[in-house]
Amino acid sequence: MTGKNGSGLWQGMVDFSPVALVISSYAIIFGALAVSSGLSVAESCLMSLTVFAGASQFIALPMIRDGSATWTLILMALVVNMRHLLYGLNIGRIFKDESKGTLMALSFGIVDETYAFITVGPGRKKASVPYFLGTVLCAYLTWNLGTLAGAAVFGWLNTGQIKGMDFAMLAVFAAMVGSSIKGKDDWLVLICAGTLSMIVHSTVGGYWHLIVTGIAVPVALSIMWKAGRETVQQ
Amino acid sequence: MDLVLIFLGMTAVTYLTRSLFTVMVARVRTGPFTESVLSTIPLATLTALITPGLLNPGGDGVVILTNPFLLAGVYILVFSFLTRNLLLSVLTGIGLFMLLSQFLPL
Repeated sequence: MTGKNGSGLWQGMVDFSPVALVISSYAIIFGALAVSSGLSVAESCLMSLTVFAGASQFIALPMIRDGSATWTLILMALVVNMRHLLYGLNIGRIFKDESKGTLMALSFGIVDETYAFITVGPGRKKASVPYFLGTVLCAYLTWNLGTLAGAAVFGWLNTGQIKGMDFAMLAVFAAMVGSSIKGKDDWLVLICAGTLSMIVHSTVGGYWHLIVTGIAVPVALSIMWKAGRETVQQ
Repeated sequence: MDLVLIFLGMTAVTYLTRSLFTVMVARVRTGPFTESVLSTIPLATLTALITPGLLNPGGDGVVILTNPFLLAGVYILVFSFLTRNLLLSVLTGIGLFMLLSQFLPL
């Protein structure tokens, strides 16, 4: 499993560790919030072990506390996690030569952080199955150990006040976006996606800005680039 | 029991969103246009993931250009673009954020 070309399982775990450091911070917060929302330590851990999707788990906590119906929670998870459909498009292309079974197994590990790391982050030059598994394993262990630590140790604290924690997550994605930018095409994507996501976020709300932006900007810009290339050729 | 049912349901629909296109798209043959669209998705989606949080952290629709989220976020974008150093960008960015939050309203 340890690739000699520096793209093995262990290398994936090591390269991903700066991101894992940030994941651990909000995993601890999640564990603490879960316990203060009425879940036991075991239930908090079970949720992170199975669902393994940060945003929807955070949103679920007040819904569970308020006794929302099971189907509304499942529907919420579907809508909030719809963005993974887009992630799958890229992960599927990166590993297009792998067997269906491998792809189905890899799918469980697609989260915001591993996706960003392997498509625009430091992992994009080393993408291989063991390397991606290494990043996923590192993310999964961190998310679950962090949940356990937060639930067990800080459960009795009221952690709803830690506002600045939101920034840690934004920071790691901003750094991955920034370090992947190469030419003026990328800056154009950044500006268009930033503008459109703000418009959709402030009008439609929810998580729809991710899906609308993730589809509209690539399609519109690709049409424009194609038209540009054809004009040059004539 | 109810909670287990909730967790399993959430796990199932989430796994569906993760696996559906991953498995499907690997077997499709694509032209240069589709490749162009697909290769632009990560940057577009991840930009959308951070923009509202940086521009409007309070979620109230009021954009304040001097809020610490935006200032530290722009710093990280530029610093990581110039240095390509993930860990250093994140750590100095969080440091700057904590410093700015002492002086500027969140």
